Amino acid sequence: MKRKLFIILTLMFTVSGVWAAPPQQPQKSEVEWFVHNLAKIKSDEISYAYISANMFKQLFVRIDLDEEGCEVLSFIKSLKSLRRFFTNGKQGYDVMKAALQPLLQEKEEVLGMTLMASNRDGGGMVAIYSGQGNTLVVTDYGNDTTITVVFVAGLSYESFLEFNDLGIDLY
Amino acid sequence: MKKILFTLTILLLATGSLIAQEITNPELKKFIEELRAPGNGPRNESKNKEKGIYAINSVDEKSYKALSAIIEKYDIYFAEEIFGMELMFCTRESGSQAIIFQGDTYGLAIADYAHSQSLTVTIVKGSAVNLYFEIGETGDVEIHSHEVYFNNRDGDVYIGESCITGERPAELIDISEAESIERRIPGDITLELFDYYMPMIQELKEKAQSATSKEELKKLKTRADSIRKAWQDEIALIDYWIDQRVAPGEVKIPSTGKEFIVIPQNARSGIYEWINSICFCNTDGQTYNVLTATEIAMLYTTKKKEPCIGWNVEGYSDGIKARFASEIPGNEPAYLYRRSTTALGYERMKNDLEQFFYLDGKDDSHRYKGFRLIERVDTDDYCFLHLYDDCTNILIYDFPGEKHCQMDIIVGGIEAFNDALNDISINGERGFVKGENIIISDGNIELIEGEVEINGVTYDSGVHFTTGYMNKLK
Repeated sequence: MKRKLFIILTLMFTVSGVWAAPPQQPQKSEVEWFVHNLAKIKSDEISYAYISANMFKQLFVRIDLDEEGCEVLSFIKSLKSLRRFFTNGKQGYDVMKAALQPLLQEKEEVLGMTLMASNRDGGGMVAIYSGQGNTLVVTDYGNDTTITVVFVAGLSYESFLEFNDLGIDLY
Repeated sequence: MKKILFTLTILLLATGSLIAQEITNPELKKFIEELRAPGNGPRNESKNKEKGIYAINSVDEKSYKALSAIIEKYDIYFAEEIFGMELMFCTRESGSQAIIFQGDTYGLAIADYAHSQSLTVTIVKGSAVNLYFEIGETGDVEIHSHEVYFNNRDGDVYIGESCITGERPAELIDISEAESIERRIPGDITLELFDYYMPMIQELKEKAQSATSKEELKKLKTRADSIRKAWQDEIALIDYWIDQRVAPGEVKIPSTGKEFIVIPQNARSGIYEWINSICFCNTDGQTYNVLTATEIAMLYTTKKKEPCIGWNVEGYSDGIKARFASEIPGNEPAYLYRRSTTALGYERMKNDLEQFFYLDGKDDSHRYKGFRLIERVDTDDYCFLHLYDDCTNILIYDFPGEKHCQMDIIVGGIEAFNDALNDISINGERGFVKGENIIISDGNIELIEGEVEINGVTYDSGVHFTTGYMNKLK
């Protein structure tokens, strides 16, 4: 009886696949982990969007590329992913602002990235960080409601600027 | 004990073998088994063998919580890879979220509307991305909260209840029908057709569940098939009409008789598509309309006294047509507006347009959706924005005290619009409209006619076509 029970239970566990190995996470840089964890903040007042490089590339290869477009295509070869966070209320703003403190302090080096440009105006601020081939833009609108964070993994600051020059806005 | 174990084993093996017919990825198969577990409460399931789609969605609090717990167990919302599939897309807003993973063989899409306790899991053999996105057109690329605009295409993942509505017997429901409706025609028309046809199918489904014979079930299925065919035919017809349009206008839904405004899908820079998304969603408490240059000209003929006969509105000259062809392929210029009519409509419009109000116009970098801010006026009573791109003017004004918000759009550019009207002849006379006939100032669009000379006699038409809320207030 015990033997039959063992066989049946073994069969059941095998069918249900309980011994499946956990998924492997790819290696991430410090800032990639930071943004990854940022996405785990739950709030109805924080919007979040992510697209993968593969999907981004799909967008471009379907376009009838002109010369500038081809230039863009060369940039996106290095792309890994694009993320954007957007707060639309006081509660979401406060939570996000607290989480973003390392970036909002405009330190010259933070999370393995370098502060490339920043601007303060009318209570708001914009800071652009770049490093390890990634670029991050954080914008505090200074209205106690809106902060946006755009993080492009695998896009250098130079390519980021060229993106803007080509009229592709990532903000 | 022995019997229980035997039964359990048989059940597991049977479930496994059913799934195995369609899903070969063992992890994904296990995931589906967990979703389908009897203890998860009532839920809808549907599948389309031809397209290789399987979907399951919650129908009440119990099933929502059960399915959510499984999603959370796998940490799917925060994973960048699951079941050998790569995270392609994710969006969250206001407690709702949608996520798409894509592997070599399968795609997985999840839509979670937490506030309505609706959770839908869709597994497709092939591309989940292609299932939910239509990508094309050139233009800006933006990641914009829950609506992700790819090249001005509103790529909002919309895999909600209308897409997955199947109840057993699942064979009565073909997922592809609702999904195809969503993608091909504007949302309001989708809902109109859905509300018209779906109750009929639901009624047949209910009858099918209590059917006592195969013959009866077959009859019900045949009837459901014919309804679905009528639905599909109507979609195809409307789709054709929209394809044939060269300018914004109305289409009449044959089955319900209701009229909807539609905008051609092949417009330059996808501007009409964006307008479609911004103007024709959440329209409660708002009014919207589209007028082409021809329609405005026809308005003149009905409103003005002199001259009011002999307008040739059959079309434009070859020269103007050629210009439009190069400037706005397939479309004549148009004037569109969207206005709030209630406090709720005001709030919704403000929410939709809020990004515009962050613009401060200090330099050319202040752009939104490719539009450059030309003018901004802030007073105690209102805020007015004028934006412009190569072929389109947008005017937005917000009157917080009045709880009124309005957006006016001239597609085709002022000059193209002006030329279009100028090209309309009266009794063969060209140049009826002279000079700068379209004036944009302080929240008003004024399309002013000048003098006209017909057979040596000069007429002062004196007709002003004025829109805008400012005048109403004055």
